[in-house]
Amino acid sequence: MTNQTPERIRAILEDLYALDPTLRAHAADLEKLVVTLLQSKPDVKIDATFVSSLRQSLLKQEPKKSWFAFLLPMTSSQKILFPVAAVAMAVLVLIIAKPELFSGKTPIAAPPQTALQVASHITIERQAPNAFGSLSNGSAVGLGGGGGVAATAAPMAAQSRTFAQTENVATGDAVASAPTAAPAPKMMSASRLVAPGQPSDYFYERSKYVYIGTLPDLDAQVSVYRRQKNTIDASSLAGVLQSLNIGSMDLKSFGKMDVQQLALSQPGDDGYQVFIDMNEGMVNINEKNYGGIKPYISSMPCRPGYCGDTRPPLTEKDVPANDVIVGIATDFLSKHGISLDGYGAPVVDDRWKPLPMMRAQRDFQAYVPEILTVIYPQKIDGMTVYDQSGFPFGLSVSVNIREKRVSSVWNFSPLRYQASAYAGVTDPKQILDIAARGGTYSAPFGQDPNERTKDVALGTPERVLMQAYHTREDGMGEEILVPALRFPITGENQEQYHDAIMVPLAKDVLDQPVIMYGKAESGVAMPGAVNGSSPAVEPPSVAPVPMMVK
Amino acid sequence: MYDAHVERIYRFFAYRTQQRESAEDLTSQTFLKAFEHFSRFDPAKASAQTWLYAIARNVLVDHWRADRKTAELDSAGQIASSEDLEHTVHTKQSLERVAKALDMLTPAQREIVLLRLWDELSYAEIAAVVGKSDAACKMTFARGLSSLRDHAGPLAVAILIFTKFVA
Repeated sequence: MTNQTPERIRAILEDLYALDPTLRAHAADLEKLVVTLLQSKPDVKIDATFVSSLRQSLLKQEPKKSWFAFLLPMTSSQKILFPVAAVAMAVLVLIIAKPELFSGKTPIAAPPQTALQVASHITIERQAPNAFGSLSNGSAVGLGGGGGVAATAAPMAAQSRTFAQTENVATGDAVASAPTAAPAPKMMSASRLVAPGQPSDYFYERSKYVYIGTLPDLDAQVSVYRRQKNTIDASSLAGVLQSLNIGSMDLKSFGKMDVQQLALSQPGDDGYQVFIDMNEGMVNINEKNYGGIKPYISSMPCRPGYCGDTRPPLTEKDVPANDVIVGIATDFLSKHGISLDGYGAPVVDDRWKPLPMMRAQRDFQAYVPEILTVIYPQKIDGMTVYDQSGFPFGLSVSVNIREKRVSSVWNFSPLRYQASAYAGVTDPKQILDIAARGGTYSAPFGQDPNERTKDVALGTPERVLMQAYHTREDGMGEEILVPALRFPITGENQEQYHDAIMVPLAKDVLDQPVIMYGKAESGVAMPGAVNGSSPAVEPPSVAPVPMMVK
Repeated sequence: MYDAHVERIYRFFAYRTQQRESAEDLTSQTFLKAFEHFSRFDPAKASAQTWLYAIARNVLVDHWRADRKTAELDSAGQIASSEDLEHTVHTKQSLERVAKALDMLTPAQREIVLLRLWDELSYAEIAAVVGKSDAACKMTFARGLSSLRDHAGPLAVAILIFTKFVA
């Protein structure tokens, strides 16, 4: 059991009172409760041998999958790798600036042939039916870039790849509005006592989404798309790097090698860094100093003097109009030659904006993030791509609101896909049932006797693509795009932080079992584990799995 | 990143599985997955800690599914730093009581209460990990505590206070 500082206890309680000032009336009880819960925290110590052993295991993993930074600071045996990477960056710059140093020839007037280039078209390679195996996930890694929120992949394009059956794909336009997080039951009362024999008056109120219109025609077969990796060809660069003389080390002694990752950086403390991952076929750009925002507090409201940032928090008035934010992002992409072919109209992620019910609270103060994100949704075969919560998915550009400059570009990769036909969902009732409960990753109704439902209306669905992760039989993950119906939520839904319901149309995906909500006794693994990043879980018949006690 | 976060991730699992072996295994899985997918990590979107917690959360979900029949509570106390048998027994008993008290909460409340109080995450970090807004997490946390106090109050507080003294 551990001790906690009075400051931390006070901070926790003040947060509560800020949310609901009436709780101050119960300050003594709440403080006792918080102190006791904090003091009940087990005093856990990690075994140093385990830490060391896991580090060694990680080092034995395929180096192509990692960044050096993951294991920094490195052990002495790995330190040789870091200078090599640094030299690689320098060499890439030199290749572009002074190719004669490597070719042994005199300078020529034409620009050098760089190892990396971006194509401006999208390609889809058609495959045989069911080419990706079963789409039902056994296990999922979950998060993609950042924040824990799903995702990876996006556009750019590598020039030097050819496919047997390749076609150009026209893209559409327009994009729908932005939804948010995965559906979750709304808690109305929590007076449940789970002790044996104890009566319970606790209940959930879950939204039951109701669509009364007609569905579009349902196809017996649908096209599922799989993103191709290894789409950035840097093979010519490896040979050049191996010719370098790095102290007493002879890189040529390793024989044929590939360049897996590169990091390029503008000089000085400011500017940008560009990370290129050849394996993932992805390029990310980051501001070097986060625009003055401390990286670990960038998403937190930081009171002056509280966590090192003395600047006053932003207010809603500080946030420019969406078209201004989009303009900053688009100008940056244009300046750096990043093509927007294959992307739809940009959408500003404004899910930070307080809901009306929040504003109605006394002493409410909106939290305004320092960085807002502009999403350029991918368009494949004329369909817009959304994540599993129904939010547009694609090229992501973060804009520093205080500095009015781009903070990062993420998910920029060649739009190279394989397409394969899979059995489609043809039963309208199945689609409406899934939509009613909030999508694939929410449990069916009636699993919890304390559950109550409230009808929420859905609007006419749009046929879209849903970005998802598929775990192959060999355990490797890959990104797929699955045809789906996106139902906008048109009814009152104030406490649900999303505004669309996604229902995939590939049978394999729709038929996956789901994570169950409900009482711990009836078998809930983890609550909220229903967003797009979560794996499927067992059908309702599983044994009880309370969270703490098994 | 590994050195900075391995202990916190281990604790995350230790608090929830109460078993050293499971906590180590799940910590390993988390870092292996993070290592494999490091190129997807975007520091502009979230801190490394948030990213790792979110992966850990999914690993835990997989674990509950696959290993649900393991009676991990039988091994509770393994995670305590003390080797003293009496202390271990008390730790196990107190963890059982804490678990019982927390079981009065909804799963969502329980998750957020633990992330906030034991894992010491901020609301912004919790929001990123569980995929909800800051405000929703705050609301869930507040309701969780209110629930313990209002409805199950006397019993919950008694259980917890008893836990405190035996531990």
